[in-house]
Amino acid sequence: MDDSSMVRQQVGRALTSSGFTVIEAVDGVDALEKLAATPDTCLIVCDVNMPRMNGIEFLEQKNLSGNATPVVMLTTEGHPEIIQKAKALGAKGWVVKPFKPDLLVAAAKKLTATA
Amino acid sequence: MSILAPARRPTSTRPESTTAIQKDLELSAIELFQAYGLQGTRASSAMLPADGSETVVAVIGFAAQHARGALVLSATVSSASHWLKAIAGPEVTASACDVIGEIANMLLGRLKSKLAEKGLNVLMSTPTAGQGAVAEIAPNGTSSWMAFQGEGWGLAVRVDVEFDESFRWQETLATSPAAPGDLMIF
Repeated sequence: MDDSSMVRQQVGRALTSSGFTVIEAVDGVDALEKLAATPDTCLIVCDVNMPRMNGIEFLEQKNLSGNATPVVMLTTEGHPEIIQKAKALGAKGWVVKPFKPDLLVAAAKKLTATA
Repeated sequence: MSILAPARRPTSTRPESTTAIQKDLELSAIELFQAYGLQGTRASSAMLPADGSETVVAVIGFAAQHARGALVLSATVSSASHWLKAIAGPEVTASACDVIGEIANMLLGRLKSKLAEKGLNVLMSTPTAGQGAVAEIAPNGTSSWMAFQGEGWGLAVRVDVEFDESFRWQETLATSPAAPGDLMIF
């Protein structure tokens, strides 16, 4: 999920080319709805700064719903405090933009292999 | 008849702090260009040459303890198209507003990390972008435009910051922020 169409397409193309089926969401609210409709989701790639519901709020709401899908954050944010906050809320990874597509794919494969 | 006016919070200009932030902004911009393989240099003029396409402007607000401001980024649609190809490749399509908004987001993110290391912790908003035939943004007394150009593109950026009289740089971070491109698996 990301409020930037360009980033969603970038991430989507990287993951699709590695065999994943990708569903896009524009923010946390959209992602929660799509997550509820797609119970076999195996990984979430999540921006932090988004309108309506940011990435940290999404983690909180996802936890409240009981969903255990692993989440990797993809964001411009790098402050240690926010990283720790996301980690405490169950995030499994953190990637700082600009990102290398092959590294994101490697992280996705690792996290879906261990889920 | 009484006219009520909102009390204006006392502010200070803090030229040294503004200059320090401007320098970090310039460094952040050059690093961002390099991250996408684009060679960009400071243009001699703060005004970008017209290239016949419309102008796109993105603004992201931010706030810190006793300081607040906004990053403003301006480019032409043609430059945005050039950047889109550099960032995401030729197959991806996105509006110029989306591209310039995301560049502003990444640029402020880099600036934020540099400022955090020096003791200024900034909360970022999300970008707002617009496109039009002529875009003129009112000058702000706290900073000035920086223009950059490369082969086939140009963009101009400025960061406007207002400090309260009580503003102080905080302690530097004990742990460095994660750097662009970093990947962590927990």
